[in-house]
Amino acid sequence: MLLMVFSLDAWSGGQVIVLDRASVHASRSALPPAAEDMRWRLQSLPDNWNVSRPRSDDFLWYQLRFQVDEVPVRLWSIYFPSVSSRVAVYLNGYLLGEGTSYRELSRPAWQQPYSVTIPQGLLKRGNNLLQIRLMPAQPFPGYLGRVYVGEDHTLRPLFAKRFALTVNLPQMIVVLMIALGVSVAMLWWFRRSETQYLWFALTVLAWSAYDGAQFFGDFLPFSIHTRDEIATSGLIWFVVCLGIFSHRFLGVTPRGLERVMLVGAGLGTLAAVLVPEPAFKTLRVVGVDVFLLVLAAYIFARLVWNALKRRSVPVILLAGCLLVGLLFGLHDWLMIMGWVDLEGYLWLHLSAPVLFLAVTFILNRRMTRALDDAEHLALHLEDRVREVAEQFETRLAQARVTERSAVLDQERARIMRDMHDGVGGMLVSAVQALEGGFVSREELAQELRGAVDEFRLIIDSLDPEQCGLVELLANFRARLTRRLQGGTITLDWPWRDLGDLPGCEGQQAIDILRILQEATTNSIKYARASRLTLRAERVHDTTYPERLELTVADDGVGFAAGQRSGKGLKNMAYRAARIGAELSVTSSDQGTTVTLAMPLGAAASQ
Amino acid sequence: MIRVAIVEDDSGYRARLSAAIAADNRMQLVATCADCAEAFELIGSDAALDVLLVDLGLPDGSGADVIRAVHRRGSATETMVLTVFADERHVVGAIEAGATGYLLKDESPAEIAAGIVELVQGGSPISSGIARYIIKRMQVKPEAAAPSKTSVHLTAKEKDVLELLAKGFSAPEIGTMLAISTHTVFSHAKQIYRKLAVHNRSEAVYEAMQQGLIDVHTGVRELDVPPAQS
Repeated sequence: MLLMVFSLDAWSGGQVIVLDRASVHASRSALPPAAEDMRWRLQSLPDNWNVSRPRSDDFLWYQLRFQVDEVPVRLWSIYFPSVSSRVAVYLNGYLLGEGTSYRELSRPAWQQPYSVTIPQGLLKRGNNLLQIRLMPAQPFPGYLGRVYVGEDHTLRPLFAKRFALTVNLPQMIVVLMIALGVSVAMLWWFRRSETQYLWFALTVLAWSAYDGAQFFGDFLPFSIHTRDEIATSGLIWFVVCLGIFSHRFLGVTPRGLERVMLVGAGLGTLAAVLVPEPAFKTLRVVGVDVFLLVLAAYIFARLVWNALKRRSVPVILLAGCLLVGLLFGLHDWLMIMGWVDLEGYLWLHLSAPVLFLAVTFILNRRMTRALDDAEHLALHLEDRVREVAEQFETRLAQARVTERSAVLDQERARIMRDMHDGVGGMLVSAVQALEGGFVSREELAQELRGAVDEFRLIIDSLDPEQCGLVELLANFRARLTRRLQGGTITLDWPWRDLGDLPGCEGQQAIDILRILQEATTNSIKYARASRLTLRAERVHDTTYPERLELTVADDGVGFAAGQRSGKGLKNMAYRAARIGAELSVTSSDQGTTVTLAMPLGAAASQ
Repeated sequence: MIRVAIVEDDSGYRARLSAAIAADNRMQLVATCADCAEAFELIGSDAALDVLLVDLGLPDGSGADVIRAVHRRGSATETMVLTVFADERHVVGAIEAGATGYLLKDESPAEIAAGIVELVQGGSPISSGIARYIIKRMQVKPEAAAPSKTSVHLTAKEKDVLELLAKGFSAPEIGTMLAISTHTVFSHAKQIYRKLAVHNRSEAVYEAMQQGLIDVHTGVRELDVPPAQS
C-alpha cells in the first residue's frame, strides 16, 4: 500500500512515452558507441546490476529508441524516476546532461530521480535515439529504472515529488535529528547523572553524521572518501551508542561488554580513516557491516528478552522500533539485491527517526513521571510534616500537663509531709499538753511559737526564690536572734558570706534547717545553757571534698542531766542520713555540740 | 506624742495592739477601724495621724487600698502593714502601695512600740528576705515597658545595704561593716521603700497615660488610677 501512495503511475494529461526496453553495451568509451555495433544486448528496464550483472564493475551504455509522431511545440523532457547518479544522457547524438556525480568522483546518491529538458529542435519526427552512460556506484549496484519522455509540464511535477521524497525529506530529517540530538544532549548536561540521555544524544548525532554525509554530501567541502569515512564512522558509532544507550535504558552497566564495543568502534573509525579507498570497500562490507550486524542483533535480542521478561511498555516499544528498523533494512537490502522493485523507495533511513521519536517519547514520559512523583511527594510531604508537627505539639502539651501535675503532686505531698512532720505534731502535742493540764503558759507559748517558726520555714520553702540554704539560714538566724532577745541565752553566731551552696536546694535545704532547728530548740529547752554558739562554714580539706559544716553548741548540762529524748536524736540522725550528711553529737556536763557536715557539689545532691 | 490609728479586723489582736500603744507614753491611740469602710472614713476625715497600722487581710477589701488612699491624700501619715509571717510578696506589695514599714503580728508590745518609734524617727524594719525580694524585683522591672526615667535609682550606700541584707547579715552587723549606726541602716531601708512606692506610682501613672485613662491637664485626682500589680 505504501508503494501505491507513492506510485508514479498517476500523471495528469499530456503525452508521455514510457520506455522499458533497452540495449546494453559494456564499454569504457566516453562517447556513445555506434548504433550498429554488434555487441548491443537487449535489456529490460528497470535494470538492477546486482541482478543482471553482479560482480561487474564495467561502464555500461544503454540505447533506447522511441517514436514521435510530430515534432512537439511544447517543451519536452526526459525523466528518470530512479537512476544511479553517475549518468550521462545523449539524445540523437547530443549530450543533454550529466548526473551530479558524473564528473567528480563523489559518492553518488544511489537512487535518485533525474531529469533533463530537450532543447527545441532536437526531437525528430519519427525515430529518436536515446543513449545513456552509466558508471558504477560502488558499493551500490548500477541501476536504471524506466525512462519517461514527454511534456515537461507533465513530468516535472513527478520529478519534483520524487525528488522531495528521496532527497529533501531525508535532508530535513537529518536536520531535525541533529536538533533532537543537541536538545537531548542539553538535557543531559543539566542532569549529568542520567547517562542514558547522553548516550541517546550520541546515537542520534552519530546517525545524523552517517545520513548527513550522504544527503548533504554536495554541500560539504569534503572529498568523497572523507564523506565515506564520516558516514562509516557515523554508522559504527550509531550502532555502538545505540547499544550502550539500550543498556542504560534497561538499567544495566555491563562494563566489560561496553568496553569491547567502544574499542571496536574506535578501531573501526581508525580503519575508516586510515585505510585507502579500494581496500576500504572490502573492509566496509566484510569487517564493519558484519560487526554492526552482530551488534544490532545482540541489541535487538537483549531488548526482546527484556521485554518478554519485564513486559514493560517502554522496552517493548523500543524493541518494536528496532524491529521496524530491521525490517526496513531488510526491505532496502532486498531492493538492492533486486528482489524488490527498485522504483520504490529506500526505507531504512526513515526508521531511524521513528526510533528516535519513540525513544524521545519514552524519555519524556519518564522525566515527567519523575517530576509528577516529586511534586506529589512534596505536596504530601508538606501535609505529612504538618501532621507530624501537630501530633508532636499535642503530645508535648500533654506531656507538659502531665509533668506539671506530677510536679504539683510532688509539691503537695511534700507540703503535707512537712506539715505533718513539723507543725502538725507540735500543735497536737500543744493541745494534749493544754488539755492534760501539765504545761505552763510559758511552755505552751514557746511550743506554739515553735509551731509558728515551723510555718515560717514551710512558707520559705514554698517560695522558689527563697528556697536556697543561704536564704533559709539567714531567715532562721533572724528568727533565732529575735527569739533569744531579752532572754537569758546569749547568741553567738557571726555570719559569714557563704556564697553559692551547690547541691543544697529544695528538700535538702529544708531538712538541714529542720535538723538545725531541732538541735537549737533542744539546747534552748533542755540544756539550761547561757550561751548558744552556732556556726555555718564552708570547709576545704585535702582529704575530703568541700563541705558545709553547721555547728550548734551550748554550754549547758549535756544529755544525761537534761531530758532529751533518744527519739529526737534518732530523728535527726535519720534525716541527716537521708540527705547524705554526717551528724555527730558530743555531750558532756560542759555542754553539747551537734555538728552536721554536708558535702557540697553536684554529687552531693540526693 | 505619736498619734497612731489601727485598721484590724480581728478584735483580739486589735485589743492587744491598743494595749501596747496605750502602755507606751510616747504614743497615743487616735482611732481603731475594723474594716476598709471605717478606714476610708477615718482617712476622709483628715484626722491628724502620724502612723496608721493596717492589716492586709480585711473583710471588705485589701489593706493595700487603704494604704494607697492614705498616700493619695498627700498627708504626712506613715503606714505600717501588719503581717503574720512578713512574707515578702505581700510586704513589698504593701510597700509599693506606700507603706513604709511592717510589724509582725506576734511581736511583743515592747517590740511593737519600738517599731513605731523607729518608724517615726526615720527608720524602717527590713529583713533579709525582703531585701532579696526587692533586689529581684528591681532586676525584673527595668525590662518593663516604662522608660528609664521611672526606674528606681538607689544610692550606692542603699545598694550596699540591700546586698548585705540579702546575703544574710543583720542590721547591726551591716552597721559595723559599713561604719554606720544601726539606725542609719534602717533609715536607708525606709528611703528604699519610699523610692519603691514612688516608682510604683509613677509607673502606674505612666501606664494609665499610655492607656489614655488620664489626661495630663485634668490630672490624676479626677479618675481612679488602676491599682498596680503587686
